[in-house]
This record gives sequence, structure tokens and C-alpha cells, in this order.
Amino acid sequence: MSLSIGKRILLGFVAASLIVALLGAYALRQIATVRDMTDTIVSRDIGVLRQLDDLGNVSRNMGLVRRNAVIAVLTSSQGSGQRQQDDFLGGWRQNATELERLLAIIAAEVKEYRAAAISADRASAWIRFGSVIDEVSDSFRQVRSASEVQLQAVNSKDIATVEGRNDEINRLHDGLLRSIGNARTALDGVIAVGQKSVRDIYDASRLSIAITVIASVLLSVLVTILISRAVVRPLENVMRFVERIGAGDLTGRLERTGQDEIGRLGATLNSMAAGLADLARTNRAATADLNAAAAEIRASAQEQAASVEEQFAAVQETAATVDEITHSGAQISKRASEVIATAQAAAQTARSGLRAATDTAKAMDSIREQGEAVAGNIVALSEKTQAIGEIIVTVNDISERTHLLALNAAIEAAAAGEEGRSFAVVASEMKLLADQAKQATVQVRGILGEIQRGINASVMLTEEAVKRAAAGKTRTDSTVRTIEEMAARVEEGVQTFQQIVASTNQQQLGIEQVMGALQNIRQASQQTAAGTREVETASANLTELAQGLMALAERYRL
Amino acid sequence: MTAALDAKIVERRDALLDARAAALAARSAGGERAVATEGFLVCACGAERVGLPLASVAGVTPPIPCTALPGAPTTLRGIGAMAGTIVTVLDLAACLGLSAGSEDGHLVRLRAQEPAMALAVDRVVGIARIESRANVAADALGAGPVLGYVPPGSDRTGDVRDGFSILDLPALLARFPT
Repeated sequence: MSLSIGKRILLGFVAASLIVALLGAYALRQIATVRDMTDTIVSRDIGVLRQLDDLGNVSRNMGLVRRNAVIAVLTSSQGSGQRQQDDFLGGWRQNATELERLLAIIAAEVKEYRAAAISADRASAWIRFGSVIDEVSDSFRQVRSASEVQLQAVNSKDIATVEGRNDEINRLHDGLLRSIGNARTALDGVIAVGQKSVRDIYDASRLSIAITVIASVLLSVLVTILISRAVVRPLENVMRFVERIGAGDLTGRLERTGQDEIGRLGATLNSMAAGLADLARTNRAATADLNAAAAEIRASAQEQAASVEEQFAAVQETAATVDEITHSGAQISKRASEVIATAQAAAQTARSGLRAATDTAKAMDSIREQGEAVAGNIVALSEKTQAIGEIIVTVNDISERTHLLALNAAIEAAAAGEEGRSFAVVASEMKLLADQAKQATVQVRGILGEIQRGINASVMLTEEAVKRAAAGKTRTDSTVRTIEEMAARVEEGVQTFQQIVASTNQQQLGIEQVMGALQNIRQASQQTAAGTREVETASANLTELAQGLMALAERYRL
Repeated sequence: MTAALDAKIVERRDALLDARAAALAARSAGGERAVATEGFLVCACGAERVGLPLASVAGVTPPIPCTALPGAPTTLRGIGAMAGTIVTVLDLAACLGLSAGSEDGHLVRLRAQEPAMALAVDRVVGIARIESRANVAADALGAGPVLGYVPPGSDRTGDVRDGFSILDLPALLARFPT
């Protein structure tokens, strides 16, 4: 069943056309058979009929020749020519030969046609015709022999014989003519039998064609039923599915799948149903969103209405505030005039402060110069202590050498023994002096270290003092600048307050315009309130619409 | 300020002079007694005090530049020139098993040695005279070439206050065969 619908329908049409073509061919063949039969019968029967006519004519000619011969004999007895008697016998014999030949032909034809007869009736009819022809032959032989004798008598002018035989011959000749008529009658029977058999063949053909037509009609009905089974039932399934989709049931799916058109249609419808389900789902979600959004719009509109009322109240409050501003503007103008007077006094004070600060800066400069001189002196002192340190190193070295010298003297004194005893005492004294000198240098070095530390601290303190003096000078300078800036600012402040007074006057004018604008705002607020009410109504309608849409979307079963 | 400094210096000078006068007075008290004493040259080697017999010492000199000998032990500092003769310089601290002494210490030249030898010490402290070796502790400390230990306060001259070890000089020099 994997054939496509088109192929199935094409197959049905091909089968029906084949049946019709076979039917036409069969009918044509039957018609050809009937026509052949008719042709055969007509050609045979007409041929035999023509030969029978020839036979009759020839026999009648024989009769005429014989009668003319008899008449000529009878008349020549009264004096007629000899020549005409010879002609009678020759003509008669010629006719007789012709007749015999015709008889032979007919007999052969009858034998042939009897063998190749179309039907048994025709064969028996041909047999009857053949017996009649045999009778004709017998009659002819009798006529021939009798006529031969008479004509020889004619030639011999035997009038008695001629007359004597004449009646018998006439009787025999009549019998011949009669038998020929019988033959014609028999041929008519053959023709009738032929017509009957042609009719029979025609009837049989008509019957068989009718049966074939009925069979082809039945076959066509069968093909139609098969096509219906193969095409219409799946289509009905598809239509039921489509009706379910139309009713809103998107849950079902067509189970039939295949490569034919119905299968492809089913697949397409399945994807369509899936797409519709998606669409319905999306639609449902969007409708829910729309419903929520409409509700939000409604809430917003209500809030807006409330805020418009608040705005209205605020505008009225603003109007009251602007009124107060108008009053306070006048006071500002008055106070600003007072501030101008105070600022001018402050500028005077700043100028005297500036003079004092300049004096302080000069004093700081002189302090710094003094400190720098002190630092220079201390540095010179430090250099002197360095020189003292070097001297101490020299003294230390001398004491060390003296130490060694005293030791060597003591060693030499010891080596000298008793004679060196007094020298040993001197050496001992020398060593003692060297050691004391060394101790003294150590103490001096300690004191010198303290002095240098004190100098360093003094230098640092002096430098710190110089730095602080410089910093004080810098600060005093900045104080001078600050006071100058302050005086300038105070001057600017005076100008600014004068501008404030002017601006306040302009402000009064501006506030009157603001009052007018507030009036306009009040009117606009009223219009906005009306518009908000309309928006609220519209959002309520929108909510109802969204709920209706949701009800519609609920129709789809997913 | 200068007045205060001057007063401080004067005070210190007076104190020095007084101390010296006192020392001289104290020494002359027992000087008349003829007691047989033995002199030692006391040297400092790190924290140790070592006494050399005064008879074996030729003199004391400041340090001289020494040339190190290749392959020599750490106790042999090298050889140097001293008053026209070549002197072998030994590091006494290294010989006693202490850590090597400083380069700028004193040199003690030894008497009657061939070749001439000198011992490098950190510093020569002074000359000590002890009455006899009777009160010398004979127990030698460690494995060094030391004959005994002189306790502190044994010096009759008062020049050396600390105690010291008496060096066994022949035993020390026997380690260096000439």
C-alpha cells in the first residue's frame, strides 16, 4: 500500500481503459467475423446463382437452336438450303458443351462449398443443391442424346424421325428447364440458410459483447471501490482530525505516516497542529500578560488620578508659597541693603589687618636671617672640634709608642740585672705616664663626642628655627594674600548684594508671571483629571477584552 | 657655658694629679725590701692573659708587614724584616688554640733564637713581678704549652691586676723545629 494516490488513480484509469480497449477489439473482431461470413455467403451464393442463370440461358439457347433446326427442316422440305443444317448441329453442340462445362463447374463448386460450409445447415443445404444439380445432369444427358439423334435426323432430312422424336424431346427439354428451376429453388434454400447462419453469428457476437460490457462495468465498479478504499477512507480520517482541530482539540495526532500524499498530508497536519498548539500556548500566555498589563494600566490610571488630585492640591499650595515669596522678596531687598553697609565696614577693617600682617612678615624675615648666622657660627665651632679630635689621635699614638718604649726599657733593665735596677724604676715611671696619658686621651675623646653631639643638636635646632621662621614668613604672606582676597571678596559681596537687590526686583515681576502660569497649570490639571478618568474607563474595557481573549484561548485544549 | 666647661676641665685635671700622687706615695712604702722576684711580660691574647719569662724576651715592637709562607700552618703567620734581620712571626693565640689574633697587635721578639722569632699578640699589657712560683697553680689548663696559673693580685709592682698563665716557651718552640 505504499503506492501514491496519483499512481493508484492512474492504475484504476489504466485498468478501465484496458478493459474498454479489449472490449472494442473484441467487438471489432466479431463485426469482422460477421462481415467475412456475409461476404463469403454472398460471393458464393451469387456466383452459383449467376452460373445457374447461365445454365438456364444455355439450355434455352439449345432449345431455340433445336427448334430453329426443326423449323428449318420442315421448311426446307419445301426447298431450302443445305448450309443452314450444318450450322444448327454445330451451334447446338457448342451450347451443349458449354452447358456441360457449366454443370461440371457447379458440381465442383458445390463439392467445394459443402466441404467448407460455415454450418451444418449450410452443408446439408449444399448437399440438397448438389442432388438437384445431379438431376439436372441426368435430364441434360437425356435431352442431349435425344437431341443428338433428332439433329442427325435433321441433317439427313429424315423428317419423319424429326417429327416423331420432337414431342419427346420437347418433354425432356421442359423437364430440364424444370430441374434447373428446382436447382434455383434449392439455391434459394441455401441462401436462406446462409442468411440464418449470419444472423446466428451476429446474435452470438451481440450476446458476447453484451456479456463483456457487463463484465467490464463490474470490473470498473471494482476498481472504483478499490480506489475509494485506498483514497477516500484515509481522507475521511484526515477530515475527522481536521474537524477536531477546528473544534479546538489540538492534543490529537494523526498516526498514519508514510511516503504517499496522505502520509505527507498527515505529517504536515501534525506539524500544523503542533504549530497551532504552540501558537495557542503563546497566545494564552500573551493574553494572560495582556490581562495583567491591562490590570496594571488600570491601577496606574487610578494612581495617576490620585496623583493628579495631589498635583492639584500642590499647585494651590505652590500658589500660596509664591505669595509668601513675594512678601519675603521685599524683605530680602531691605536686608541686602543692610548687608551692603556692613560689608563696606568689613572692607575698611581688612585694610588695617593687611598693614599689620605685612609688618609681621618683615619681622619673620629678620628672625630667619639671625638664625642662619647662628647656624654658620655653630658649623665653624664643629670644624674646630674636628681639629681637636685629630690632635687627640696624635697624642694617643704618642702614648702608645711611649708604652712600648717603657716596656723595652724595662726588658733591657731586666737583662742588665742588678745594674739596671734603677733604670727599671725609670722605665716603670715612663710606662705609668704613658698609661695615664692614654686614659686622659680616652676621657678627652668622650668629652669631645658629647660636644659634637651637642653641636649637632644645636645645628638641627637652629635649622629648625630657620625653617619655622621661613614657614612663618610664608604663612604671613599667605595671610596677607588672604586678607587681600577677603577685601576683594567683600567688595564683590557688596556688588553681588547690589545685584541681589536688582534681581529681587526682577524676581517680583517673574513671580507675577509664575502666578499666571500656576493658573494655567491648575486648568491643565483639571483637564488631566478628566483624561485620566477616560484612561481608567478604557483600561477597564481593555481588562474585559483581555478576559474575553483568555476565555477564547481556553477553548484550545493543549 | 665656657666658664662651666673650664671649671669641669680644671676639676678633672686636679683629680688626675691627685691620683698619681697617691700612687707614687703607696709604691715607695715597700720598695726597700729586697725580695727575690721573677719578671714576666704579660700579653693579652683575646680574653686570655699569658706571661712570658722576661729573660727570654728581646723587645716589643709595633706590628710589621709579614709575608705568608705557602703550605704553612695557621699558627705561623709568616716572615718579616725587623732591624735588618729576617724574623719568623708566630701567632700566639693560634698556638694556644684560641681564635687567630688581630693583625695590628704587638710583636714580642724572643731572645737567643736561631732563626730569630717573634710572637704576635693582641697587646702587651705590662711587666709583672711575682715573688716565687710557690703559689703558682701547677695544674695546666687545657692541652696548651702552659706551666701554671698566676692568680690575680700576685704582681708586686701593681702594674698587672689580672691573673695570667705562664707560657712554656721551650715546649711551644719545640713544635717548630728549625
